[in-house]
Amino acid sequence: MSGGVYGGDEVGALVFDVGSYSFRAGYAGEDCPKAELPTHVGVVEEGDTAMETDDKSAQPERSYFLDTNSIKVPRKGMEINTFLKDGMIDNWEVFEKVLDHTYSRHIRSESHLHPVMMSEPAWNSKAKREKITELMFEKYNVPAFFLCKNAVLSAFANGRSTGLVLDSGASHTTAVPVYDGYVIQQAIVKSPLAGDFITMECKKLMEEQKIEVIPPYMIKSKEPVNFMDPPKWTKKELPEVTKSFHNYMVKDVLQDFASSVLQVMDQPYEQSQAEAMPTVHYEFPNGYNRDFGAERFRTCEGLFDPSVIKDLPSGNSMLSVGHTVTTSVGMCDIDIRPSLYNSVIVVGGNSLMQGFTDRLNRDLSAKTPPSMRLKIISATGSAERRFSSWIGGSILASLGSFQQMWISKQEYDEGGKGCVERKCP
Amino acid sequence: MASGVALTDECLNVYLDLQSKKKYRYILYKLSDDFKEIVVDFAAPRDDSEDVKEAYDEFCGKLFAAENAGQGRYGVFDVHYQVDSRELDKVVFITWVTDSLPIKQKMLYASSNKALRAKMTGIHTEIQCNDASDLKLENVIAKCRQKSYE
Repeated sequence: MSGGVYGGDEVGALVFDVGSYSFRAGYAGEDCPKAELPTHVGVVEEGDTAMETDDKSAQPERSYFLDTNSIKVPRKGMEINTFLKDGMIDNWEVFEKVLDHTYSRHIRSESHLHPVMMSEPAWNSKAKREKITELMFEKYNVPAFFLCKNAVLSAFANGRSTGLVLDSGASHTTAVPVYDGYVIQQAIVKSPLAGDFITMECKKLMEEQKIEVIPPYMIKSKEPVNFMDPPKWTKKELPEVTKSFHNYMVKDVLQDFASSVLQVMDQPYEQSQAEAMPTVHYEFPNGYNRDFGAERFRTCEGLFDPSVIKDLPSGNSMLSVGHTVTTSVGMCDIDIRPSLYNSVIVVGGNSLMQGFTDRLNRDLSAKTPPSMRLKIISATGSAERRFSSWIGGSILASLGSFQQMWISKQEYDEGGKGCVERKCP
Repeated sequence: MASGVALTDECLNVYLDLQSKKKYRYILYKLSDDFKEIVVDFAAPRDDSEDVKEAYDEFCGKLFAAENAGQGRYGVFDVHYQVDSRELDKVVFITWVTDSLPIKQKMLYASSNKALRAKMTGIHTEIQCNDASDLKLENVIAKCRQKSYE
């Protein structure tokens, strides 16, 4: 093949992919998103305090701080919020700010010039689908729009029109069966055991080990200390920050800790085995450093065995990662179960945790009926795993032949927002 | 959800020749170089004196060659097998996309198979093949037999 990595006809379309951790945006036909913004934003309520001089971003009542760099700056009274709820867009005001920011800072172009392909969770509601269609046509005046289930895009990007998409992201792990390019709605299974759960487990671990996690924003200076010595650091002069900001910053450190230290055991956790595994050294932002041994494995065991999770308010009715798959397949017609087990497609940032797919393979092999062949598919590159639906959308939206699939401005004007149900099933 | 890729008229004409006139043993389809339409890549004349197994090996050989060239394929094969001394001929539709392909090929072949498949009548079984073991003749026949019992 000649041309760029994905080549394709130039229609100048944009691709927006909303995940529970970040919002990805970029041009169709490119091989990775141009921008990745956190789905969290900083909000400062202005109240009666004097207006700041920076009135470009200052709204009458609230100022918003978006993008990784500005959200991490300590500001007095800045609360951290997300525009998502249960994976779906919930706070439209914030979401519009994110879109405005994306167009002006990252895309740097006018919204009326580019068709938009947008991903949505498989369980998105009809009202929200119509609302986003209306928003894109009415406010952003896009020439064409398309809404596509992220699980379908992930399945296609992995070369399958039929398969079970296991997406382990930040807020939840979901199993979504895709058959012939369509989601089987009634068999979607969700579990809250995902990235944010791991972060909570890390937090519990730190409390248990009496490690105080100091996020970088608080640190003015630090000195190197010896292994396991108390840290020597000085605190910065800081404005009065909110609890949500502090928690967000602590979470950031814990996420880094999780991705560099934690590993899933390849079989159910056993203390003696975990202790025999190599330890991993980790240095916290304030200089405190130590090794982690069995904790590396124990902390994430809950993903695959919820019975080990301590002090859970809701009892232990949560589904392990393996269980979400078997439960979902079990709800599908018996004839298609073999083809689902034959294509279990693993995507999402949380699935990048070391040992994740090996353990999944082990757990599922034990549960797959002997007459069926189990095959787990996972892209090796972290970008392909985290951005599989964005990349899929990028390829589709760049096709000349896809033009007939778009909802055009004219169709919207004639048919109204309801046409999204017909054009984008 | 589909990609909107079109078909050439030849695609269906050749298929009808296989399905009703039994002129061909198998057909291979591919996406055109500009990814706008699906075209006929190869159609193998049917020779009833020939061993079907041999024809199937040749068919697989062509699919592996496409894989090595970094491309997917669609295949239609007129499978012949026996059940309780009954001779059966069944037409199967195969989507051939392996995990080693570039992501654009995977995306396009997976999202376009419906365009072709939906226009073909008389396909007995449809099989998504992603590796050599999916493609084995035993596997294909097993899928056909399973389907017949339904």
